[in-house]
Amino acid sequence: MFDIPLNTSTYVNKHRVRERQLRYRYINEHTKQYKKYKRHVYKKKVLRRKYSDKKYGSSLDENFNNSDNNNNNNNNHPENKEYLIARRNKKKTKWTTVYSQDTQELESENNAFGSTKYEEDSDISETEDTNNANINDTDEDARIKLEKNDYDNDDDNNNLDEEEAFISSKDERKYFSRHHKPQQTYELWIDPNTTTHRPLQTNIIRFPEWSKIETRTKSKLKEPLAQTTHSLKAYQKLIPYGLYLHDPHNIRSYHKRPTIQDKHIETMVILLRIHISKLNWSMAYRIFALLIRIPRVDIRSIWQYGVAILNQSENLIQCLTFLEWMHSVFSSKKAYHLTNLLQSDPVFRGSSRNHTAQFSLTWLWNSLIFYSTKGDQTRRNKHDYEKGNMRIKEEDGEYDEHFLNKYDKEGMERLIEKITEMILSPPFMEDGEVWFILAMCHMMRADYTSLCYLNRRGGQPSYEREKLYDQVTYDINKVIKYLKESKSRQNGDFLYPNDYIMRSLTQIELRVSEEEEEEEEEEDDDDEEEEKEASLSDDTNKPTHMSLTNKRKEIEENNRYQLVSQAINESDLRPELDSSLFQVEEENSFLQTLDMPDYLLEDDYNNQYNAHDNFYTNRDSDDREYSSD
Amino acid sequence: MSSTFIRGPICGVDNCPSRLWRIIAGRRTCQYGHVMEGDIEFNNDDDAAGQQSQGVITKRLNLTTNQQGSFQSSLSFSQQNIQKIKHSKKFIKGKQAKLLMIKSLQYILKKQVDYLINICGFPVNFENIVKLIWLSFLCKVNNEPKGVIISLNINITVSVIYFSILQLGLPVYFCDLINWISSLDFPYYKAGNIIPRSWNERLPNFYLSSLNGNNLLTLKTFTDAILRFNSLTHTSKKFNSTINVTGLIFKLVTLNTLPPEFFFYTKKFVELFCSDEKDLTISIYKIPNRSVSNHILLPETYVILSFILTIRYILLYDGVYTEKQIYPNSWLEALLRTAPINEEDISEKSVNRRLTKLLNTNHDVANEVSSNPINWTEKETTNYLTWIERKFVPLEVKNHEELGKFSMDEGIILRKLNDIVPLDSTDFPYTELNRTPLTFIEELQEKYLRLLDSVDNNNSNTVNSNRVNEDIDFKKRLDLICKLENKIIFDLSNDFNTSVENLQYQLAAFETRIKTYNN
Repeated sequence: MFDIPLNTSTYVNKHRVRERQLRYRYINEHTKQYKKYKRHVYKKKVLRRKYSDKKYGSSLDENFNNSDNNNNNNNNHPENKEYLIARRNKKKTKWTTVYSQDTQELESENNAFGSTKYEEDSDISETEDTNNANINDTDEDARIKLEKNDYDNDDDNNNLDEEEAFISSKDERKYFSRHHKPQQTYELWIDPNTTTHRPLQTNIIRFPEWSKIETRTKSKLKEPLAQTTHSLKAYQKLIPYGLYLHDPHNIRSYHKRPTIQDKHIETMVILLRIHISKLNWSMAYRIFALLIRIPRVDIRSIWQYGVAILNQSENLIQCLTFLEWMHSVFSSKKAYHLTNLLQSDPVFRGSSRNHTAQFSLTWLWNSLIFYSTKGDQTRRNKHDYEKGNMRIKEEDGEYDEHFLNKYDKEGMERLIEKITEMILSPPFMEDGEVWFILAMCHMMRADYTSLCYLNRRGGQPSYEREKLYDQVTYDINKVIKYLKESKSRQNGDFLYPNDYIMRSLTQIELRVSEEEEEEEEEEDDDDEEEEKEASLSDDTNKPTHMSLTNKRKEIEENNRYQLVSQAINESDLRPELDSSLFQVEEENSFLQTLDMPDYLLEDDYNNQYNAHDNFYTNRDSDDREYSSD
Repeated sequence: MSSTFIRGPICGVDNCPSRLWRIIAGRRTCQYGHVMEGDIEFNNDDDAAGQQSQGVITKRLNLTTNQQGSFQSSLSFSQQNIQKIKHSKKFIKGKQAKLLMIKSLQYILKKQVDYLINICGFPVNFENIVKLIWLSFLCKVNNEPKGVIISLNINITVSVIYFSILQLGLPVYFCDLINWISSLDFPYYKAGNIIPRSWNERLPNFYLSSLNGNNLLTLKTFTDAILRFNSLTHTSKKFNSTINVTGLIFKLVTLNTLPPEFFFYTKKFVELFCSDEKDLTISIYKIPNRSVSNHILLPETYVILSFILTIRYILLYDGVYTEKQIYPNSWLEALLRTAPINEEDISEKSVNRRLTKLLNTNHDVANEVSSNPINWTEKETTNYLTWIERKFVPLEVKNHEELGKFSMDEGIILRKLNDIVPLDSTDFPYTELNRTPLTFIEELQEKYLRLLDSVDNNNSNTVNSNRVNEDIDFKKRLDLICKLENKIIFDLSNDFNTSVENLQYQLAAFETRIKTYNN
């Protein structure tokens, strides 16, 4: 039913690996051929445009007619000569090395036909070209034909001279084709070169072209399929129709017979899923605890269930410790070598030098939420900050205390320390999400300290207040810095409620600055500077050192902040996507907007379940949703 | 400069006997001026520090010698290589490996026999018979000029046990063996880890994997193994090789909760149609051949097939040749509808049967209702999980630990994980079924009583509308008989770990044979 979660070092189902390899090879080959075809059509258009502008059609036509008798006639026209030389050069540079074959084909148009190699093609191919050209009347078509011929030549293996010329290189290719390349067993999702990107379904493809592509891919797959089993060959035939091989009579010999161990583990995994779906947590916990104890089970493929189950317990730290254990044991900083004979799934279960493991990210998110709420997310109600106008007033004292009690100061400090440490090393250094989490941590701390500042309004030594003030400004600076960092990172292009974050930052800042205005009229310029740097609307024109009109300036500034926030609220400056995703009015905390906790939906049991499900299983997709801009 | 000598390994260059070393210009040199091969110098101090404090400060490592007398800090390349070789496993090959393999087979056999005698209550005499048959095998192997011909795997020990069961005429059959194996009591699964660790380390992986019974025995592989063993040792000539028919028939009848007269019917049937010596004994002439192995049957299968046919014929002709229908439709319906027994009342044997059913890979799990874990009740699941906790997980962990597959760090890490996720968590309480395990006989009684109850209910419900519409009645009856037969075939295919198709095919072949036999 499902893939059995076993350690891949011991468990390799060769049949499945081969099938997957073949399937993706077929898909990759097919897309490659299709791209070639697209490129060919594209060239056609470009050439037609080019040569229809300049009018030396007649001379070219003559040239091609004469070329049957004498090839040198081609050189009569300067343009034509240039073109032919360029073409010859192209052909010479086609075949470079075996290793770089794949990438080169993708990268450059010149090497698009790199799999076929023509070095000494001057005489034969040109005569062929011209023969073809004679059929067509116009010179443009002749040119296209030239190109097309290049495309078609791939199939023509009849010419013995050519084959003899490239026996050596062919042998080399054969030799290397025999070696198993794991990178071919996975679908190429992204073409690294953006220049070759062309929309796939712009034109309708006609059947003849389609069949041509089909035959070409088949011919490409001939070689690797030469020495395989019948079943694999049959499987290859079924791929284009989207079918799978299922032979009920022969199924045991075709697929490896599951051992006693496999069978039991499989059964347990099925039971685990069933009981999670039934919300029977105690049973699910027991199954999970048993599964973990079996040495051959790979925890990396079932940890999500573990997190979902452990989150149901009252002791929420258990889940965090489990995730921390996962992070400390399974995060490796080794680079993932495609050349290794790893027949396992891709790295996505674990981590590598360029890929942060999902469980580490989950750990960070969960601990951020936990330390800022102590696991209790019902702390804030709707009326706290109404409509983004987060002016703190005396009535909010109760709420403040509530929040202050819920915030785990030491835990958050530890978390920040941990992340700053992590960020120094490769996989986390390049991950925008980690930077974003760090920024959020700082924001939480700023929120907390600013509230502390407000809370101890009276009877507090000034140096402590200064300390708090410094802390807030420091944190706000960090938030902005890290948000910038996260944007510049590899996968940091996800969309997040930037407006909302900035607005709450200004609010946090306001809490402190208001106090400054009221009580301490003389403020350090340095602090003010920092404040300005940190603020959302960094007005560079604003004078920084104005000792005389210091007070007035401050008031103006505060007013401006208010104005900005009001303006944002009143006008629909916020993008639609943003507002729909993050309902600021209802869920006031940015943390709550990031991922909907189930606690908010206590009324409806089903809803709770759904939200919970989304919360854990689709965390990844939730986070990436913003990136779809 | 410094003339202090350090005692170290023998120099050995040109038979130099020196053991004393000193350092000249950073090279370790012996008393007679030979420079040591592969010497590594440790320079711990920073150069900058040396420049700053103008006096040269050098840090010396305390050179210690190991057992061989060489410096531990510096190993010559040749020495390093030697150490590496020492660490790698020493596999033995060829004849030696085969000898060790036979030795370990014997060890496993001993364990298996111990289990059978101590726990399953086999007679003490059983051990002697096993010894005799094992000796005949050893003798054959020893006298073979080319060495061992037969492929050595764990099925040899199973076939030795099977032959000794036959010799004593015990009512133990292939289905029982399978049940014991699938409950992981009988040393078969991962038997390669039972043998002493020193043997385990020396055996190559190929042999080890053939010692581990990773897959459950199927009827076909079992038949193959027994016939191969027999063709090698000719055990069936020297020992009794007919199976205990009555015991098997009794077992079949009771398992399917049929009335006792079916025992006699089936016995008569077997006497009539399987009286052939060939059918009920294992003969040497049945040499297994992969292409035609379908036609070679274990004697037990003949009994099964005749049992099924007996039921079919008796039910079909019931009421036709007799005046009154002995087995009315209501009885058939009750048989088909056997209500599920309470999980608390289930005996150990039935649990094992269920496990065998689960492990039967011959049919898709998705197609069945009972053995598909999706349809399990909560109590069934708890039962299964307790079994997993008691038998399966300890075995897996123990094997890993005993074989030293865990490194030190791994052990610590896993212990940490076990602390994080303990089996008994207060947050997730689970209720263990507090069942007092019934004996098999008690369960059987329960089954028969249930059947009786349901038959009575049926009789009271249905109004006596006898022979109102005979055609419809007959069709209905045929349908019921077919259903019952299918059910029995399905159950038996699970007990004997074959596919339903195979049994049906064999049944058809057997029926045609009987028809020709009559003619």
